[in-house]
Amino acid sequence: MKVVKIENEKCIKCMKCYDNCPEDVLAVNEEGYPYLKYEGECWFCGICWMNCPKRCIDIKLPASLW
Amino acid sequence: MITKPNAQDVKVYECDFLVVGGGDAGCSAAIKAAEEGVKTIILEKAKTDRSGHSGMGMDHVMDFPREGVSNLDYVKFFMGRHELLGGPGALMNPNVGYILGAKSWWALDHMNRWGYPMRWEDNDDYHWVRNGWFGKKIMIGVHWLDVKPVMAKKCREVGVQVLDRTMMVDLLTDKNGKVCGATAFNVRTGEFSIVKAKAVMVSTCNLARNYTSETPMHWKYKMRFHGHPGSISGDGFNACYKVGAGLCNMDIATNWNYRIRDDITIPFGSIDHGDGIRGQWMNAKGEPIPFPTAKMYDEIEKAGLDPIYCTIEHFNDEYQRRNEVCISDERFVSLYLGAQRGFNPKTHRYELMENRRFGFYGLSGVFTDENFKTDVEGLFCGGDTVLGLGGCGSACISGIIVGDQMKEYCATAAEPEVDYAHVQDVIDEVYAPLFEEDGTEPMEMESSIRYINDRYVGMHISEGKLKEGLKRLGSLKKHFMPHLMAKTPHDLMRCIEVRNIFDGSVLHFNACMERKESRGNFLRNDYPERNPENDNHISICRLVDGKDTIELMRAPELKPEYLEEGK
Ligand code: SF4
Ligand code: SF4
Repeated sequence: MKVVKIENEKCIKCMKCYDNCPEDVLAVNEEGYPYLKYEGECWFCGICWMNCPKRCIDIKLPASLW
Repeated sequence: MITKPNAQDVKVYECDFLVVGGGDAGCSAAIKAAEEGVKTIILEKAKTDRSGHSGMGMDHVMDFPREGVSNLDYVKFFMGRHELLGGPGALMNPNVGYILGAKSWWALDHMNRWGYPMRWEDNDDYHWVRNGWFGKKIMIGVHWLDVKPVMAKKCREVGVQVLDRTMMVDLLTDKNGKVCGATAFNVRTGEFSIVKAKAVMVSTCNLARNYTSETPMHWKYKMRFHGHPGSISGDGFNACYKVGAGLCNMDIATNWNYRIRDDITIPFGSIDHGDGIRGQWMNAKGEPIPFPTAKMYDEIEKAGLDPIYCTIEHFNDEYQRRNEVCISDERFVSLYLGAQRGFNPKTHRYELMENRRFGFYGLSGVFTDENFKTDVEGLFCGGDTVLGLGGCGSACISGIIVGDQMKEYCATAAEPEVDYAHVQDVIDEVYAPLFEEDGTEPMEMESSIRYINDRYVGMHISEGKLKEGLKRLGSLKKHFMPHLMAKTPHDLMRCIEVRNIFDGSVLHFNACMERKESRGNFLRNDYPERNPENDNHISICRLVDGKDTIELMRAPELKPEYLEEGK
C-alpha cells in the first residue's frame, strides 16, 4: 500500500513536498512529479501533506502501524 | 553517477562559526552569532525550514521561572525531573540547569525579536501553561506549527550561509586536538565538502534509532520517536566522542513508558502538561494509577493489570478544545490520521507503550559547562546533544547562549588547519558502499542493530545478555559492516547514520556493563540494589589515545555564586 499518494492531475510540480521532506524519502520521477521512493522511511510527520498548496497528497497509515 | 573525490579537490567552505544541525538550537545559535557579525554556516542534513523536532510544529516551550519560582527552585526541579530516569542524586551538571533558568528571560527577548511566534494573537500575551512535572505555570503554550520556516528565514536574513541536505560526516581537529571544522556530504548530490571553522557547535539531537520503532517491521520509522528520525541517529554523539568529548550516561537509556502507543495520532506533550489538568493514567481495569515508573510498570504487569492507558475524558470542554489545538500545533496531520483509525480524541483511551527502552533522551549527552562548551577546545554543543537537556525551549536558550559567545571566542581562536590525509580516509569510508555489489543494505543493518539492543539490553539487564549482545555486535562489525552497500547519495547517508547508530550502541552496552547496580529506570537483574555511593556520579565514556574508557565522575557542584544570586 502506498502510504503517501500524490494525485498527479492536481499537482503543479511546485516541489514543496520534495524540498521539505525531513527524511528525504520523496523523489521526482521522469515526468517531473514527486513520488514516495523510500516507503519504509516515511515517519508520517505530515509535512508534505500540510505544505502542499493543492492538497493533492494523501497520507494513510499502513497495517504495520495499526 | 556519483564518483569518489580526492581530498585535495573537494569544495572548501570557510567560516568562523559552524553550526551542525539546523534545528531550534542550531538556528538560534546561528542567528545570534551572525547578528554580531560572526561569519556563520549551518550544516543541515534535511532542510532547515522543516527539520528537527519543531519541523512539524510544537505546542509548548519550556521553561521560564516565574510565579515565585527562583532560579534555585528551578534548578532543583530541573534535576529532579531526571531522577525519574536515573534515580536519586545529580547525574548531570547542575550549573547547566541553573543557567537555563537564569538566562531564559533574556533568551525569550531574542526569540520575540526574531519573530518566533511566542504570544497568542487574541490577547497578545504569553499563554502560560503549567509544567506537569513541576506544577507551576512556567511553560509557554505556543502555536509553533510554522516556527521552523520563521527560523530559517531569519537565518538567511542575518547572513547565515545555510547548507541544506548536507550532513556532517565527522569533526575535524588540528594538530593540537582543537576542533576546526567538519567534513560534510550532500545527501542529494553526493558531493563531499570540507567546512573550516574556528568554533563548532554540534546540535544534532541525541541517539534513539538504536532501539526498535515499536512496529513489527523494525526498519520503519514510527512517530514513536517524536524527535525526527533523521536527527536521532546519534550523528553528533558519535562525532563529539571521536574527537575526545565526554559522552555521558550512555547506560541510562530512556524508557519513558508513558509514551503513547497510539502516538501516531496524539503527540504526548499536549496531554501530559496542561492548564492545571493532567491526563489520568489507569490500569487495564480502568483503575487510576499514579505516573508509572519502570518499577511500577513491572508490578502492574506481574499483577496481570497491563496494558496501561491514559485518558483525557475528564477534561472539560474548554480544555478538550485547547488540547485539540495543541495536537494540531504539534503535528497538523495528527487528527486526520486519528480519524482514519476511528479515534475520538476526547474519549479514546490511549494505550501506553509496554515497558521498553527507546533510546536516549535528556539524561544522556555530551558533557558541557554552563556555557555549553565541551572539554574539547573549539567544540560546543546545543539542544538535546547536551547532557541533561531535552526539549525545544532549552534548545533555543542553549543555542542563544552559545551564539552570544562566538564573537569573542572567534576573535582569539586559532585559524583552522585541515589534515588532508585524514580527510581522504573519511572520503574512502563514506564512498566505500558504492563499490559493494553483494553486501548488506543500510536498513537491514540498522534493523539488526536495533534488534540486538532490544534483545540484549532491553528493560532487564544482566551481564550474560550484555556479553552476548557485544559478541553479536562484534561479529556484525567484522562480517557485515565493511560490506554495507549503497547506490544513491540517500543510501550513503543512511550508511553513515548506521555507522553512528552502531558506534553509539557499543558505547551503550559498555556503559551498561560498567554500572553494577540498579537505579531509577536502569534495572539490572544481577545487581538489583542501588549503590548509594554512585549517587551524584555521571558515567562518562571517552576516547583517550584511541582507547574507549568509561569512568564514574562526581557531578559538579552548583557554583557558590549561583547559590547566592539564585535565591
Ligand atoms: S509524511 Fe513526512 S516523512 Fe513522509 S513523505 Fe511526507 S514529509 Fe516525508
Ligand atoms: S507540494 Fe503538492 S503541488 Fe507541489 S509538487 Fe508536491 S504534490 Fe505537487
